[in-house]
Amino acid sequence: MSSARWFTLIGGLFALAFGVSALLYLRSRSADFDSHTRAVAAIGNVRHLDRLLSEQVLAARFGLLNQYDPLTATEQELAEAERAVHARVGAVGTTPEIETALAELDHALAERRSALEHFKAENSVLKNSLRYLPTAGEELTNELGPNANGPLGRDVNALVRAALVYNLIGDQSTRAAHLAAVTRVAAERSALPKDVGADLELLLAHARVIGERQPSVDGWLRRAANEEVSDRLGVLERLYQGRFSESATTANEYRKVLYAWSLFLVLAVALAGIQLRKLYAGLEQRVAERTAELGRALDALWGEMKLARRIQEALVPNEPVLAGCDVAASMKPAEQVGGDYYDVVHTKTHEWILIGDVSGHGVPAGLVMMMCQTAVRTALQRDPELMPDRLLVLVNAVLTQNIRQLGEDKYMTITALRRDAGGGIWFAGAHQDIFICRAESDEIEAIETAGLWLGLRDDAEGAFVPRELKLNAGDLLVLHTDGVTEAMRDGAMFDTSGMRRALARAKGKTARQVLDDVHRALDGFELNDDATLLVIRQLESMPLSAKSGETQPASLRPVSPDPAT
Amino acid sequence: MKRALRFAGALTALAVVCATASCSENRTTAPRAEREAMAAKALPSSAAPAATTSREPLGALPEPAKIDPAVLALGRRLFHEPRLSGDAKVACASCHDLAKGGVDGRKLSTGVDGRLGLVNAPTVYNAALNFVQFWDGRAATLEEQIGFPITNPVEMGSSWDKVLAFLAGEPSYSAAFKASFPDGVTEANTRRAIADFERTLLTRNSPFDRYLGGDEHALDPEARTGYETFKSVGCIACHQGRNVGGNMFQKFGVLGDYFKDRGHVTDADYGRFNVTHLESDRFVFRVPSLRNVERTAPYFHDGSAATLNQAVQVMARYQLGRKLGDDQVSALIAFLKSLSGDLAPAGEKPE
Ligand code: HEC
Ligand code: HEC
Repeated sequence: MSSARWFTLIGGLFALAFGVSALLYLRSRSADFDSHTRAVAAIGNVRHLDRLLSEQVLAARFGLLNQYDPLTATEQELAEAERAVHARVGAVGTTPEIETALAELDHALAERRSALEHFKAENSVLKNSLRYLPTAGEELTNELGPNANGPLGRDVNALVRAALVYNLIGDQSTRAAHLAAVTRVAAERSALPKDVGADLELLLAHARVIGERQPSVDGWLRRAANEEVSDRLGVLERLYQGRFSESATTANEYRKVLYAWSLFLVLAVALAGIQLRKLYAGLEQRVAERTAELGRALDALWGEMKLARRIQEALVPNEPVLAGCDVAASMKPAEQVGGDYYDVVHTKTHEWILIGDVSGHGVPAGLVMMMCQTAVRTALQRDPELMPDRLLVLVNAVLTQNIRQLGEDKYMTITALRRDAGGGIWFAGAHQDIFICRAESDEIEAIETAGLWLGLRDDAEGAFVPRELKLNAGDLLVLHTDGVTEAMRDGAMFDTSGMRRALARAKGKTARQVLDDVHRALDGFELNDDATLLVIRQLESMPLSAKSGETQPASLRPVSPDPAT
Repeated sequence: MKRALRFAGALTALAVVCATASCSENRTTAPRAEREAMAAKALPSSAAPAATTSREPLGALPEPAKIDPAVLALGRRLFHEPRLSGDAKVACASCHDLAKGGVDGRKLSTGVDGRLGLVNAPTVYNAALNFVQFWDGRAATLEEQIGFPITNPVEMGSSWDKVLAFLAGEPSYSAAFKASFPDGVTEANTRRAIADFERTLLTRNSPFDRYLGGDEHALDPEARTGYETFKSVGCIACHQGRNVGGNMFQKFGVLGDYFKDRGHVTDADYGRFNVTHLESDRFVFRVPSLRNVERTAPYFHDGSAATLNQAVQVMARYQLGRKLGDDQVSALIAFLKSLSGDLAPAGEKPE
């Protein structure tokens, strides 16, 4: 053979070897980690925003959001995230199944957007009528003058109450009661003079709005916060992961062939072979590691967002104020949210202090606490002159029904204290002991509380007995939840004795200092439940001034402030 | 012969080394950067409770986004350019006069050849903050919005082909596009330049925003009473957020049949229904922003209310089912007037 032919042959062989290597190499690279990571991240981002949106929708429904800007911002981010999913999953390569899953995701998101818009609109209108109804009722009864105590006055009051209860509970029986109350009032319209009749129409119009919107708001809420998007994401993610691991497997197959092929070449070039061996070992593992790592990072991100904790923190007042008192409050959260509840409510004539604890943990406990707060406030708004035992009977009725609705087996301890203008405090309801450090005698009294736990039976008539206590100038009142007394160290509880030790040094200190003392005493103890403390120092024996008409704590305003009175 | 074999061996070795070398650049960098970017994005949202408990249901206008000055100048020029229209007489600014609050002051707008539009022109000021564009929300973004007036036969009555041909043929425009965008005159870049210009049209510094910022004296007592009234009678249920509206849809006539009382219902009155064809969306409109409302008469999508006084009474009657006293109405108007902020400086209009 001539050397020219040899050259042609060898050149041909070389070109072939090179071509095969190049082909195998390209095939083995088709699973690209970069694009994969981006696609998974894009899907994760949609999931994150989807959950955030659900939380915000819930918050808007329960009055924790006083306007929709945060919601619309999330909506817009979600639309962008949706586009990113298309771009990034598309960049990795799709199959017909993935195309379908993407289309279904788009569809679910579009449905949700539409539900969300309806929810926003209806929720605003419902909230507005709920806020206005009591005012409209009051205006009407004022106009009735001396007849306000007659049958119409009573029916109007019953209607206002029925509407509020219906909004809170929303089941068939409260709906029927609401509609019946509307019909009763409507029947009395013809007998009225013209100007009063117009006001009655107004009241009825808003009551009807509540009747119509309450079910539709909750219907849209369910559709706006449902699992559809997250299910679609799950499907997409599964298909996508399947597709990726498939292409990763194929790529690995090619990699093996390439490996063999290279080994063959390596016979000729040992050095290159060693290079190759080093490289390919562990590739598969790297795919797994990278995916797991990413999964962990995402989990950590989403795990942070604890709805229950947020509900609780948003509801309790962090800096409560009582006339003529120095007040400090704290809620030390345990690892999992417990159902601790405290609140300070100012009505026209009294100041109310409430403390309680819902059994159990997590979102359900948070919801019960939230219902309790709403029920307390609704009741006090309707009748600021209630005695604490009456208040608890009313709240218990609402709460028991609600808990049954939730399908939860929950109950709640609570003590309600009412400060009167004279300086006396009426209280009722079973919770932890009330501690009082007397300024004059330096003694610490522990007053046991008694009564029914809320949520156990519908009718609590007669189950609470109001008792009275009196604070003199300098006296210190301390309320707590069992998270404090049941804190553990070395198998021993902090207990009431721990409280007494901490309070023994309270003389002459501000409420905040006393609170810090108790916290210091708790150092080293392990909290198994939320620990709430409320410390109140009576500054002077001056009676509290009866002026503030506000019923909301400073930390939490409703969708919009109370109607101007 | 031997030499030839050795040569072939060397070549093969080279090929293999090349292949493995490019294999070994297998990526390790991207995921981390990606995750950090995501975490950074997620953070403000996890910090959301702060926003949810904010006291005021209205907020001040934000600082406008920073826009490349070259793009901004181009956008401003396009906004005032009548030659984008079919008869070379109508510019965006013809119906959205920046010196007059971003509106034309007419009940319905007139476009090319004096043709009459179907609805009242809303202002372009602060439009960037509305969650969707148009009374019926049919455009999701400002970029998307721009296509409508350009091709609408009763507005500018042109087409993208004509617009792009004009821009590419006019040397000062093609140069300006080249300076701002690598790919020069395109439809996307035209939309982008005008939209970016609109994003800077925020009317900051209104008395009300200064009041929110802590300047107690920025509002006179009547306007302050008006703000309280705005919240207490329930306007806030719909007109809310930093744009005092523009963040939800609502039916026009929640507690009364506005359209029956007005008469002559047109297709344009169907509002959102024209987009979704859902019966529940009939007569539903995007709640308009009330910023600068003092300057944007006449009011409503049909331009039916000539004065703020009328508009407020209609709102109270049909949206809230209430009658307001004269002093409540005048306090509300005093508050609405405090929402007027700084307009774009007059000198900024190009030639
Ligand atoms: C013939 C008058 C006319 C011209 C010219 C015109 N517009 Fe408009 N513009 C309107 C009317 C009328 C509407 C309301 C239409 C609707 O909601 O259906 C509107 C709505 C808008 C909106 C939405 C505002 C909001 O709050 O929803 C924006 C933004 C806007 N125009 C920008 C522009 C731009 C940019 C141009 C130039 C490309 C332009 N307009 C040209 C009359 C006009
Ligand atoms: C139920 C929701 C809702 C409530 C409550 C509401 N509005 Fe409106 N408002 C709207 C909608 C929707 C429009 C647009 C109507 C249209 O033009 O089709 C509007 C339009 C307006 C306009 C005209 C703006 C413009 O540029 O044309 C003014 C002014 C206004 N509202 C003031 C008020 C005042 C003052 C109150 C309280 C008395 C109030 N609104 C209560 C939904 C509401």
